[in-house]
Amino acid sequence: MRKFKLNKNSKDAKEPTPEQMKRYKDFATLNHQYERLTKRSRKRLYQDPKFFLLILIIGIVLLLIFLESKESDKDTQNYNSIETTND
Amino acid sequence: MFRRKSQNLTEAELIQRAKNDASYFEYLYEQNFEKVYRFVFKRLSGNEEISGELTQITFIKAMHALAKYEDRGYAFSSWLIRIAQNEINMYFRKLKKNYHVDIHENQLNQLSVELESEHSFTIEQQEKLINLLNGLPEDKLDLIELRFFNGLSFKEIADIYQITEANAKMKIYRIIEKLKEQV
Repeated sequence: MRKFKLNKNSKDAKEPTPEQMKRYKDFATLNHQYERLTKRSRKRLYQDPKFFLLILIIGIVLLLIFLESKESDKDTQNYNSIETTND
Repeated sequence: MFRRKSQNLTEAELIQRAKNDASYFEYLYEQNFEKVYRFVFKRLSGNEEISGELTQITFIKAMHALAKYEDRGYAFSSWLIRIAQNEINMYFRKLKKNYHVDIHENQLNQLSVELESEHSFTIEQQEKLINLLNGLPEDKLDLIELRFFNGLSFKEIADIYQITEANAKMKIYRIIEKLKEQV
């Protein structure tokens, strides 16, 4: 919140000097900030290391699940063949 | 080259071109930067750094909203000042503690003339008036500040709020009447 306070030291309000204004007048920075805020990132998703790592982990997990299910299929086949020979 | 290209264009033409090509916005920035910076600087009692930041934010927001800008016959700078004013108020609202804005004797004298005081205010009256101002709602305080502390004309205030000059005058004098009763 703003609160007004009487300044008894000077009668008139301070004006900015040309040097002060020059210091903050910078269109190149403004344009750069605007571009950064509004334009979408041009980096492709797969080039993002975090995204790449996530895909790699998902891939490894799927491979392990696939190998595990293959292994258990083999076991059930072996079990069935043993049972039929016993019969 | 760019300067020469944009020199012959009117403000309305520049705005139209800037809507499609951001490089034209540079000329609008060059034309209006000082006015906006001066306005923010005064509202913040001479805080140079924050004035610089808020002025930049004002222009970024203006660049972003330019596509929606409609020329209704008001100066482009009034639109920018309106954005700056919103940014300043937002900045004050976000602050956890009070931001002290200095009022100087000559600024207060302008207001006391309107309050039809025959003599200049005593220190006690000045303090009372400041307390009354501090108790005003934000929108009313903005009008008083624009007129008496920033020295804007009724026409300029009307342009900022996109209302008629008579309407701006009426709104300000209603606040003055209320202050008169209380001082």
